[in-house]
Amino acid sequence: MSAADNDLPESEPQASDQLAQLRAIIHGRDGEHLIAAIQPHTRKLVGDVLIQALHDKQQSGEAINRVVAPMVEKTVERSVANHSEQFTSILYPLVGSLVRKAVSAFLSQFIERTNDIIENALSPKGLKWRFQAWQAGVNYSQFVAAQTYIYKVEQLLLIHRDTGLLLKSVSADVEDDSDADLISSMLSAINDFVADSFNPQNAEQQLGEVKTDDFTLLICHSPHALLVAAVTGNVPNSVRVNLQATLDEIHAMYREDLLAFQGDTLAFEVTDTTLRDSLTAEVKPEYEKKKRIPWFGWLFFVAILCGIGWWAWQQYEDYTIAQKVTELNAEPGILITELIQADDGYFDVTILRDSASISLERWLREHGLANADIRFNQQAFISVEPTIVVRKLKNLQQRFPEVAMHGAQPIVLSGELGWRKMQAFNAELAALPGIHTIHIDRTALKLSEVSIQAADQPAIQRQLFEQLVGEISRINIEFASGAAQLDDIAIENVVALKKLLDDALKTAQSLNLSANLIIIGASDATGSSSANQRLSLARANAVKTALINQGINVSQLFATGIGEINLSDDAVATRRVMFNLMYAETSRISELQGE
Amino acid sequence: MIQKKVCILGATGVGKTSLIRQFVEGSFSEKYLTTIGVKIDKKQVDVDQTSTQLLIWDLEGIDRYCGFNPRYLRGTSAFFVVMDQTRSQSLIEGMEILHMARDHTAVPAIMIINKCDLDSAWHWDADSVNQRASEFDNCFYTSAKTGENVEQMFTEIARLSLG
Repeated sequence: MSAADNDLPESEPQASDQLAQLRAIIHGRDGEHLIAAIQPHTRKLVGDVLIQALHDKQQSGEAINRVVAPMVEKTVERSVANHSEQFTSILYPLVGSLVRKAVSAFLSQFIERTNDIIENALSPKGLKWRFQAWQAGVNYSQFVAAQTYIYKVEQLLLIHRDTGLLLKSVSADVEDDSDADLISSMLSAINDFVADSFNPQNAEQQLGEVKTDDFTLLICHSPHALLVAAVTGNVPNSVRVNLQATLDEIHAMYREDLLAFQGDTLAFEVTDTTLRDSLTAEVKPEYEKKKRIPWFGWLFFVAILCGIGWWAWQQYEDYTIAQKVTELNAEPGILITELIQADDGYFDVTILRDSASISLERWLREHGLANADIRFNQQAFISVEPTIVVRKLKNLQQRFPEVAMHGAQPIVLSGELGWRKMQAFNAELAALPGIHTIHIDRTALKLSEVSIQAADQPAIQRQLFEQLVGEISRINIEFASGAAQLDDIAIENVVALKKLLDDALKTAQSLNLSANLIIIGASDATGSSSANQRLSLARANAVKTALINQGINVSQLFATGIGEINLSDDAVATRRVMFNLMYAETSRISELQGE
Repeated sequence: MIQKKVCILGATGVGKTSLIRQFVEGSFSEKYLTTIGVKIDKKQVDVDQTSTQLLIWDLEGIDRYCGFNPRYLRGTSAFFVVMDQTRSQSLIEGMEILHMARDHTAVPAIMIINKCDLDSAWHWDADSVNQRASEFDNCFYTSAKTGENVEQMFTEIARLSLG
């Protein structure tokens, strides 16, 4: 060994000192020379290694995500707010597949959850657990958690150490944690109490765990924050280790925020992701979910679909029935006044019905509604629809087998009737409501009784004539207020009147009577008397003109206006034209003319 | 929303818990229950359109022999010292508590002279009281029974807490 070698250990500290001095000279105070030399190249140097550094950090753990994720989220949020139109056009083509995927995921989740609920509620195991939970006097979900999980972190509270204020709370289940802030303060108080009471000299003495019958509170400490976990089941040590690591990570990231904390917890909202990662649980091996078909869920889903289908079918059927029932309005002599569906599902139909209209049972049968849930509430009324009048005429004709009925316009009545039957037939015919709305030809209807004296024939005809006179006097033609024009209904009445008048004039001729129709116009009391006088005459003349147009000889028509009739309670009744067929013996007229 | 921790201190039986109950629940009970350790309540107060949630630490009654746990004052934004105007000793005790608290914190403090629905019986003249009140940031004459000035004292401590 040389002398130089022997000297080396002594010279080493000296050399080291010299090296340090040299380094200080080169680097400058606090490395200022070094920083000055690097600064112009900082951008390039960092740029060269930034991507690789991020990649390496990502590979080593997830901590970088927690720093970058909130920044990216904020940036995206701001970008979407400022450029919503560009985002809309970018996302638009994806919306369809996103919706499909979301619906499919929702359905799958729905079926799985339903399956779990039914299995828990109805399976022997579920029933047994319910019974045991009831026996133990605990909540069913707590019991299930205790049975299913080895442990489960139910809730995490991040607490500011100095103030005991709650910074952030996350829970495994969506439950009301409105008292988490009180719990946080109380835990801090208890912690202070423990620190003060059991080892006042050692400030580091801290509460680490609180155990209750249902859960364990694990309390992890850092210089400025506490992390408290409510855990059910048997807590393995790994949970505490994991929680402490989470707290250390949060502490490292938010140290400045914790030091500057003045009661505003907004800065700690972003710890949500980190804390949720610590809401861990471990399922007992026997309860780990195996991939199997969720039969109960599918059955329930199919049952729901069937239910919806059945309901839709019922709605469709009800709609169809209601539509078909309204067709009843088209039947002559029937008018629906109300159609409602009662709570018991029946359709309550209120109708006005003429006795000569189709029977309701038959109509229901013919329209395939014999078994439908329909209840009718009928109110009688008399219809003057031509179809109903013809039907009633047919009923009348059937009661007089000697009378035949054929044709439609006009309806020809033929046959031979005895005097009394003729009298009865004519009386009933005249009493038929709305008979004047149809055209009847009675000329082929003859008296058959040969035994009747020839003198009797005119007597019967006289009776027929007087019936016709009566029918004519029952006809009225109504007008609108102040009007003298004939509307459609008035023209129909004129046509009906013309038919009766034809018959009456013919019969009068054969009876050797001179007959003339007096057309009497009237008006209500609205307006001046002179105007009403003129209006009443104009109405009578309008009807007269219409009758002339129908072929009635002008010499047999006399129109007159009687001015206003003051019926205060029914003005409509006075705005009309009335008729009176006046007749006299022709011989008598000649005598009068001779005089 | 801003959260603030505030503490309420005072000798035994001066009405600390009753003041909090009147503020939080709007009720009063003649029955006396001593507070053991600390009890915590919360209530939201609006100060100048700022919503503040007060976490109110109700500390057990302090007497000259046992003192109080100063850790409870840690992180508090402000505190009350409550006195009872029907007991002469109460003012002295209150001032002692203030001085004890000042050894640990410099945050704003409010003097509360409680039970003002009863006749004053502490034989302190107004000057003496005012002289001591000047050591506080504010002073209120309150009644937990009638609710007089209770709302105001908590609004004031919220305002002082916000700085």
